[in-house]
Amino acid sequence: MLRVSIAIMMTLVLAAFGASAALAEDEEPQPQPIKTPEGEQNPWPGKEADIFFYVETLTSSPGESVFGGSAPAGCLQTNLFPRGERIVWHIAAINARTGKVITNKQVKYAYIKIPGMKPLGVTFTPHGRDPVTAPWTWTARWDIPWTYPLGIVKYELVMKLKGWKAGKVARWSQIPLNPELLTIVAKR
Amino acid sequence: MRKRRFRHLASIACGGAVAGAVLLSPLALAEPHPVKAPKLDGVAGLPGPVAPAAKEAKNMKLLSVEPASGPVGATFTVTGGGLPANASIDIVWATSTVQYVLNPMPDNVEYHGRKINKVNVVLAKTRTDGAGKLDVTLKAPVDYGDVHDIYAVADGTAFAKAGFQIVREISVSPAAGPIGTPITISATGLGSLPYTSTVAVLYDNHYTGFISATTTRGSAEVQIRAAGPVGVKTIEVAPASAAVPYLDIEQSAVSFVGKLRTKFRVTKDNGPPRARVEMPPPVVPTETMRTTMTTTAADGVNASLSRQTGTILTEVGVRATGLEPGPVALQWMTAAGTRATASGWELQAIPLGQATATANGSLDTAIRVPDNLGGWHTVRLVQDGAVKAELPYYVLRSFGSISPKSVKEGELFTIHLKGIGWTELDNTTAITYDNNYIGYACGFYSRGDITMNMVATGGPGTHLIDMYPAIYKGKGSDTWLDQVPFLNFKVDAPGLALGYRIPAIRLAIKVVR
Repeated sequence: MLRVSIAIMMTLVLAAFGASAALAEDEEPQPQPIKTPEGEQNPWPGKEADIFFYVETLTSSPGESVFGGSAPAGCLQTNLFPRGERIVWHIAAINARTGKVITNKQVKYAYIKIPGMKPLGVTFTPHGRDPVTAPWTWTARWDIPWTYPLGIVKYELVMKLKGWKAGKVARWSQIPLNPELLTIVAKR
Repeated sequence: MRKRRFRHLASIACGGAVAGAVLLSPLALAEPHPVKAPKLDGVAGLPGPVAPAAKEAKNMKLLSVEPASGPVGATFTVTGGGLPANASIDIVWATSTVQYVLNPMPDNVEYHGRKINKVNVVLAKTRTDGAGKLDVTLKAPVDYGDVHDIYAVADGTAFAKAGFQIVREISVSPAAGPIGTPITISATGLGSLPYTSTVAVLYDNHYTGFISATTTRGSAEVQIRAAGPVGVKTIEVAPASAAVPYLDIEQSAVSFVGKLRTKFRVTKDNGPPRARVEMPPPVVPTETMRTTMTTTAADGVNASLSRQTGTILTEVGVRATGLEPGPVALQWMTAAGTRATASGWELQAIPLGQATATANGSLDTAIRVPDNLGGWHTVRLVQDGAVKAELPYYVLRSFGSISPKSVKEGELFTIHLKGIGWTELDNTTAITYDNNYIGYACGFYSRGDITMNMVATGGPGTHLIDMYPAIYKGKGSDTWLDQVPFLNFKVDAPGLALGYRIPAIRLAIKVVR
C-alpha cells in the first residue's frame, strides 16, 4: 500500500514546519501553531508521512526557457506563470522517520507529473555556482509550451527512496486552496 | 473607544420616556456575514446554472481552447479528443461569487470586506462525436476577469480540462466636451481577487476614486465629470490593489491586468453646471436588519408608515391598530455621539409628539422626520412605557446649498448637506475638487449635517466639487483604503443589500479674480 507524503502549503506554494517542545533558557519563544482552518477544504489532520516536502515554484531568468518567455525578475516565488516561461521548482525533502535531509544518495528516482506532459525529472543540485558553498535543493524545470491550456495545473511530485519495497513511493500534491494553486495565465 | 453596545437599552437619553421591558430581536446579536446583493437591472448573474459536483478522471485529458484569452463577449472554440463517444457533455466553467461581508447592528453597520466563493457553472451543453471528439464554440460570459478553468463533464466525471482568461477591457467616452461633461468609464473583466478586483481613476495625475465590481461580476460603468481648465487631460484607469493606483503594475505578479491611458479634450468653459444629486436606483434590501431596531412589536399591533423613505423634514403618516385606547408616545430612534472621542455613541429616542389611540385601538396621525442623521431609523409607538411597534424609515442624503457660487480665488465657500448617517457605510462623503481627491467630511457628531468650508482655487473659471459615497473603515484582510470615492456606488455599494441609497452630489463654483 502506498504511503502518501504530505506537506503544508502556504500562499505561494511555500511551506513551513515546526515542532513544539519545552524551551531551553536561550531559546526564543515560538509562535503558536497555525490554527486549523475551517471549511470543507480543511486539509488537516494529515496522514502519516514518510517524507516531509517543502515545495516552491519560482520564476526563471531571461533566456532559460526554450520558448523565450521570462518574468521581469528571476527566482521570485509565484503560482502564476504565463505560457512560454519556465517554472522552476525548489524542493526540500526530509525523511520524516529519521529527520534527516534527503539527498540524491537516498533517492532511487523523483519526478513531477504534469497533466498532458512527460514526467519531469527532479534532480538534486546546488543553487549557485559554487557547489561547495551553494545550498543544494531538489529542483525541476518546466518550459510551458505555448499551446498548454490555461488554468490550474494539478501536478504531482513523486519520490522513491532506495530500499523501499516495490510499489512504494512518496507523493505530494498541492492542497486545493484555490487561488494558491499553480495556474497558467495567458500573459504577464 | 465607542460605548458598550446596547448601553442605550438601560439609558435612553433624549425623550426619556421609555423604560421597562424591551424585547431584543435575535438580529441584534448579528455577526459579520456575507450579504446577498439586491437585484439590479443590467447586473449579470452567474453565467449558467450551478454544475452538479463531478469527480475528476484519473488521467484527465487536456482540451484545446482557441483563442485562450479575450474580453467579455469574445468567441472561443474548445476542442479535444479521447472523451466518451456520443456522450452528452457539460462544459463546466469555474468562477466565483463575491459578496460583501457586513455586520448590521442596531447602532452601527460594520464593513468587513468581501467573501469569495468558488463555484462551477454549466456554461453550455454539447455532445461528442462517435470518435469521442469535442468541438464547441462559446462566448466568454459577463464574468470576473482572470483565468477560468473549463471542464468537459460527462455522467458526473470531468474527463478533460482547459482554461480561458477573461482579459480586462476598459473604455472612456466621450473624448471631448466642455467642463462638466459626464465622462463614462466602462470596465469589464475586473477580477475577483484582491489585487485584480479594482481599478483607480487618475485625472491628469490626480486621484479621483476607485471602481469596484464586487457584486457586478467584474463589470462596472461609472461617471466622472470633465474638469478644467480648457485643454487636453490624461485619464488613466490604473490597476489598484486596495482602491489606490498600483503604479508599477508591470513589475507585479499580476501585471497581466494592464492599464488604460487616454486623452480627454476639455473644449470650453460654459460656466458652472447645476447642482445634481445622483441617487442609486431603488432597491429591495436583502437583509432585514435595520439600525435602531431593537424590539419586536407587541402581539396584536399592526402599524405602518405612509412611506418608508424620504429626506429630513418629510411628513409621514402613521397608522396602527391593536393599540390600547389612549395616549401613544411617538419617538424617533437615532444615534448620537462620535467616533472621534472616547465617549463614543449611543442610541437615543427623540420625541415626535403624542397622539391618541381611539376606543377601538386605532391610530391615524403623522410625524415629521427630524432634521437629524440619515440612514435607517425607526419610529416607535410607545404606550405606558412599553414599545408597541417599531417602524423602519430610511432618511436620504440631501443637498442643502453651496454659497457663494461665485468666489474670489483664495476665498472661502461653504457646502451644506443634510441627512448624513452614522454607520461605517454612510457617515462620510469623499470629496474631489476638479477630480482631485482632497478628503472627506463626516456628519455624525453634527447630527446629520455637513457644513464644510473650502477654499476656491485653480484660477478663474468653473471648478467642480464631487461628493461621493465612501466606506468609513474596513475590518478584516480583504478591504480597501477607507474614505476614498466609491465611484461604482450606484450598483456595487455594500450598503445596497441593506437598503442604503447613498448618492453622489455634484456641485460647481465659479472662481473670479
